[in-house]
Amino acid sequence: MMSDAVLTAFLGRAPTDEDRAIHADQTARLAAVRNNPLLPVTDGLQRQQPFPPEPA
Amino acid sequence: MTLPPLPTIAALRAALDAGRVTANELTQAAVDQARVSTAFASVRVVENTAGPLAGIPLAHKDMFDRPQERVGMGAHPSAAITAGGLATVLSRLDAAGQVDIGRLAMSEFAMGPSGHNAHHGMPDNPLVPGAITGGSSSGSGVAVGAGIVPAALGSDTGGSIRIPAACSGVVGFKPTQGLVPVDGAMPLSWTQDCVGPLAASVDCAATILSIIAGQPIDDAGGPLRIGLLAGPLQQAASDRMQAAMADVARLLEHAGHGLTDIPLAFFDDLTEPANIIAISEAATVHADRLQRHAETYGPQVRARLVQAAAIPAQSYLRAGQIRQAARQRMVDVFGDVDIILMPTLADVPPQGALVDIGNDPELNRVIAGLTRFTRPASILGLPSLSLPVTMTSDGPLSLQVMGPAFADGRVARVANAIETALALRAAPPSF
Repeated sequence: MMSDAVLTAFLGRAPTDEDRAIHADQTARLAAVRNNPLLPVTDGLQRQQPFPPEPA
Repeated sequence: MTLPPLPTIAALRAALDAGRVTANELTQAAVDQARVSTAFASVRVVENTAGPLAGIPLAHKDMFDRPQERVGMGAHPSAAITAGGLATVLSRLDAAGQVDIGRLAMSEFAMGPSGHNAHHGMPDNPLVPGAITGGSSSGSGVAVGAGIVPAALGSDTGGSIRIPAACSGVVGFKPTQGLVPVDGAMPLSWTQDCVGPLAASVDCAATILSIIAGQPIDDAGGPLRIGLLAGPLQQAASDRMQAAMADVARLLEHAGHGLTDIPLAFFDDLTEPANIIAISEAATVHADRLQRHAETYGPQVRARLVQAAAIPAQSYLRAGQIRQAARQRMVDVFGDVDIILMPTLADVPPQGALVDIGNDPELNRVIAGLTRFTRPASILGLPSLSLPVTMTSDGPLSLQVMGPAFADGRVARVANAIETALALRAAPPSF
């Protein structure tokens, strides 16, 4: 399972059932960022910078 | 109902200067209280003798470096480090003369808005038996709310100064992101972490913030356009919270300020971006330790860090894009109003049993509920001060005064006007 491989790399050990449950629970969170009204989905390029510009 | 009297920096300064009390007497009294208080992780005295805070006892969250001291961070004892350097904020308070009497309890690694701690328990709420203290600066709120010290440093990444301040009925001031140096402070989420004071009054908080910022926190004065949170987010607050805010708004209008309802519906769209940024950055801070010592983390903190394994880099960066889009939206908002008034919590602090859920699957919902009103200022990097505005039989109700970036002085001025007009707290004890 891909998620087990990810979790093993992240945790440094094989995941437990509890780890898997925590991991699987994040889909709603990711969807809230993917479909957020503040950053409408575009057919073009998403040009918004993710970080504030460095002070001059 | 009124709030119990608390010693303020100004009252202690006046008593010291008039010779009605000595610095040794003040320190000893504070240390005696600290030794029996659940707010303190450890008690010791670091004396400084010159400056505006000379003789004034303070204490700070157990996350700031002071040479050769153990920094516990609210974590399992094996996680404590021995500091090498001195945090700039402590250096500035030392130079101002503070008497630093100890290190204050906190949520594990500053992750937890309720104040619960799987290793050390939660301090006792000084106002409402059984209610949460709020976190993560739990001990800071309690030490001030119990009258042991007039001010204490905390840190705020999603509400960790303002929530415990609201739970203990004191003032909590999250400054503008970047105003106060964070070197020598335990990191949690680099792009949201702020260091600021919890204090007995707005004046105390502004005094401490001026010192740790290394510059005056002032404002030109004059009438302001006050934006009152409205719409679905405001309606999520209890009826008595909405009524308390309406009362405060009338006071501000009577003082000559203009009022405007402002829905700010997009604040709720910031909850998950803020969470994704916070747990991704926190999991990066904790990556090595989590791999080597996962068993030493409490269940809730560990669960929140494991969540980060499900966050792709692209989602973290998209959350950053959303933050920047929201900051641009706020430029327009602050073209229409000068200050925003909104609740800190939806109601009074809840009873501990209702929100002590460990790593229950509901933990994200409970945390989101406690931080619903505080996360926006964190992700937007804006100054926001929480102050109590009503005392009910169930506990205090607190509001936030939020301003544009680096308008911390304006925030303090409005909060001070509210505090003065309400006169909610009995006068400080005399000496």
